[in-house]
Amino acid sequence: MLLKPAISCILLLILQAGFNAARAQAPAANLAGRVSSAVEGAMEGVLVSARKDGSNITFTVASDAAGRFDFAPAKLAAGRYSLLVRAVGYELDGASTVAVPEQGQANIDLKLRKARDLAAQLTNTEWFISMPGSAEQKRPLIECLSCHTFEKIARTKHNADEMYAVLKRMATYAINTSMERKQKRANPRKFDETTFRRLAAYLASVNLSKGPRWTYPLKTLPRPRGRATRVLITEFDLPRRTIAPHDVLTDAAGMVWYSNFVENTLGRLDPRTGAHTEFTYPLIKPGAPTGALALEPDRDGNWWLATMFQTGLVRFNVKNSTFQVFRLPADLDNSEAQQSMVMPRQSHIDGKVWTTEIGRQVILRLDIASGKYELIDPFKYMPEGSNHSPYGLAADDRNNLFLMDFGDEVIARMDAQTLQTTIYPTPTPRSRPRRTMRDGQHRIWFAEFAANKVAMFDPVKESFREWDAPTPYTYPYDVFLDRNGELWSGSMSSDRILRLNPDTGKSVEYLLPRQTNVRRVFVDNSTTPVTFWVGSNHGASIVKLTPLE
Amino acid sequence: MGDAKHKDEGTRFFGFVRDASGKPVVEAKVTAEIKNSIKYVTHTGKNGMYSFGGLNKSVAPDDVTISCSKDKLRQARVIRKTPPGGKAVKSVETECRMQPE
Repeated sequence: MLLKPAISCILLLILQAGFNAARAQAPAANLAGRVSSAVEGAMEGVLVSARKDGSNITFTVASDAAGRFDFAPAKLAAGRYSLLVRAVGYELDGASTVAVPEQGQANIDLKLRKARDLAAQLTNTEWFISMPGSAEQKRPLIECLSCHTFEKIARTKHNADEMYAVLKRMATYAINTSMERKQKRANPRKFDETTFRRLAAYLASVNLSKGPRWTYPLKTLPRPRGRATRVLITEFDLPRRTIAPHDVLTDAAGMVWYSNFVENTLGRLDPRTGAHTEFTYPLIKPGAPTGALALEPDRDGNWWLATMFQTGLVRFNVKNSTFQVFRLPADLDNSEAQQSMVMPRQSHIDGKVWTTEIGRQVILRLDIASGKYELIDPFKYMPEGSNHSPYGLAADDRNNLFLMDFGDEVIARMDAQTLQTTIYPTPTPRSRPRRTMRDGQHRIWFAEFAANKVAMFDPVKESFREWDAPTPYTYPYDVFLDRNGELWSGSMSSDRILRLNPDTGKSVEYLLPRQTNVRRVFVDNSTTPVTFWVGSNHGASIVKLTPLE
Repeated sequence: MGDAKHKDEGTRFFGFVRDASGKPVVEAKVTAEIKNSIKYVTHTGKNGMYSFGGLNKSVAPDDVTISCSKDKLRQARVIRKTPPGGKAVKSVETECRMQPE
């Protein structure tokens, strides 16, 4: 009686083996081709994107030195695909759809022609490179990129006075505003009139206020070459344009979770199917801008959100899909209060979760059991009038805090027991340290946003190392050191993902297929090769980047 | 420190770390500790020089202690070149002398 099932199993295995062999012999569905232009002939580094009709997933590969591209790594399903290209200065000339057969390969020759509107293709970085003016004149403009591209400013026809009025209006918007969802602050952001007047005059000198054409040549960055072309990029469109994914991370099961910068939702994406689920947390502070910035897990895999102007912290219990809100006490919760960051990763040590209070430029620490917050001011002995803004947070094995001062040029360590603060100025002045992560060797890696560098702080030696981003005006937002010791970074400006070997200093920059306002970067170390994830904050999509070498 | 042009700075601390023969000590760790409070840590450059940005005006210069350290060396003494005093001064120069352990 026991034999029959065993025989059945063997027969099934033989049949399965035969079926697999037949499948292996039949060529799988694929799309490949060549891309060229009359000007250059075969073109390297052209991003070719394919999206199947009715799908929310877009695959992108890059052409090699002979102009060839091949979607084999994407394992496309058969069907009709729309094609897009990204090659600054060029646009697709001719067919933009192709049918991929059930078996075999569809081949297509893509012809490119000179772009009719180069300005529409420029990244923010290319605008910064193109515009005349000093780095000091351009420095304030990086604040604009949080909400929209620089192209929007460059196309205006405002004179200096009109531009000043626009800047004043901009100060009324919350930082968690997008073009799809504009949100007003309770009170306008404070600004210095002289600075705004000077900035308005500069902007009026580089926009279209003097005529229909820009008075300076539009410069472009080189297309990807060599190693930078060996990449597969997968974009998962989210169901609403208003969704602004900010922090994107994967869990142990490979599911992708993200914070929504402008709405009170936590999102989950199944990257195997593209299926998307949203979990809505309650309105905490009616009338205040909605949305959260930082998303971090605790040891148990529960997700914590820093809920910006909604104020306080929110914890999502993954076992029963419920939210718990940790409200700010009334004495801390004024109209300027804003929690942008949260650090619960070591909360199992002492039951405490760190967060930032941007309105007061201080650190708060939540006691989970009691729900009480304590306030610590790491900048109390800094000169009055100096700018400080606690930003990226990391915690060590004793839940001591490392914080980045995005307003200035220091990082700080806060002792969990004594709350004593030690301040470390970065080697490069005015670096504006932004997001951070701690690696397995207890080192603190972070982005020096305004210095155009990525950096490492060694807490044992209490010393820094810095590396230049290879492209000027990148403004790196965040970093992530992967299991191979390579450092990944992304930018709100250049649409490029940096992969840097800190030991050799060698790097590669992958161009993304679309304008992508990069915020938190994340690497899933459980896959081979490692997988890079990021949200398109202005593009309502989740982007996965798979290096092919 | 930082972008702000209108900040109201108190005392700045700067100076040098030198060995027993007077040669500059590079990459020495220099700590400025405000009495019972915050510490600032930086390292000397190629000429053995360090500097900290200005502190808040509320910090009395005499409440700030400067110290230095480096592998295989120990701090011998710290010479404060600006006369001590209760009133605020714009800057305080120190020289930290080190000798072999």
